[in-house]
Amino acid sequence: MEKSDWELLTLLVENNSRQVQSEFFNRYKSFLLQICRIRCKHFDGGEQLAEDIFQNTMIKALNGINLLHKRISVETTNTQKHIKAWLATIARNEFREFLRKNPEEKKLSNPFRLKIDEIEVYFELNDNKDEVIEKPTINKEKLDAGLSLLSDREKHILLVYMEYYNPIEPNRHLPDNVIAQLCNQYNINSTNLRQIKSRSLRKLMIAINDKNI
Amino acid sequence: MIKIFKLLDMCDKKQDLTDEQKFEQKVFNSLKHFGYLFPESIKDVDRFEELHGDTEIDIPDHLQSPDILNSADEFSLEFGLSLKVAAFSDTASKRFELPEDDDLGENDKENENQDKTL
Repeated sequence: MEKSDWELLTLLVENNSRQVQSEFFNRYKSFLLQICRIRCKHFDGGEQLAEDIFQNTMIKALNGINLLHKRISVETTNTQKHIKAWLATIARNEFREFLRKNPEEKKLSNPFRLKIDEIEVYFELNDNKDEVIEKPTINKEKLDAGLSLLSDREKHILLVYMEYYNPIEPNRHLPDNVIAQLCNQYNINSTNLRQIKSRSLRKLMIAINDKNI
Repeated sequence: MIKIFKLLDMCDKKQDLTDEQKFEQKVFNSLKHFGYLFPESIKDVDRFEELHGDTEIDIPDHLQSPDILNSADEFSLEFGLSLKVAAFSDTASKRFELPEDDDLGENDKENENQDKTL
């Protein structure tokens, strides 16, 4: 009989054997790779980046699994969702780490490090998160068509902005090191950067409102 | 009570949004909904699976096997867990840079020295 997610988690904490790690890996690999692929698909070398984030995330997750186990503490019907959301949070942090780096030193973070605050931030998010995401008013085909009309640079800049977008604080800026990295990568200044983002949004808006697309 | 204030605050902010900001919010919601941004919460995961399903996907051969987590060397990790990790295996060393000396914590350095003495 297949172990429940909680049993698997407990087993990993008590007996972190290769066999148990394999079971965890096999159970979550599809979900994790899928979210990485979708997130990275509009970036240069997206498939490779997705695979790197996938591997780093798996290693980090197994590294910190005892902390997740401690925080969930009892079996619930949501254990699997908790694990998936946690994996996604680690993957997002890996992705952001990648965005912060210069093109010359584009490598992911040390996979042996899962900072304790990364886990705390995840639980804080899930404990206090108000549902502020509304149903989308743009359909997927239109969104894809609109994004495909943007240049690589416009698409990249817009998606990086969106990575840090917070619906509660829509005026919040990108972190300074991400702005610096983008400016350096495209040899532009921060004013140009904002202009490119605005232009990308306008292009996207026109494409989405175009009935022929 | 705090939630009500938060919601009121959000409503106020929504009224102040320019057209571009309103559109930006629409784009964000859509990107999030369609999985172009990482899910962060259990609700996000639900939404993602509703849209993309939770079925198996095609996974390249080199990622099929959990061997990426295994290696001949055992590395002691920050939290005291022992994990056989990819970064020191033959296959993974092509993908991961080995940690620099500066990246290693004191415990890691001790472990490394112990490994060398074995």
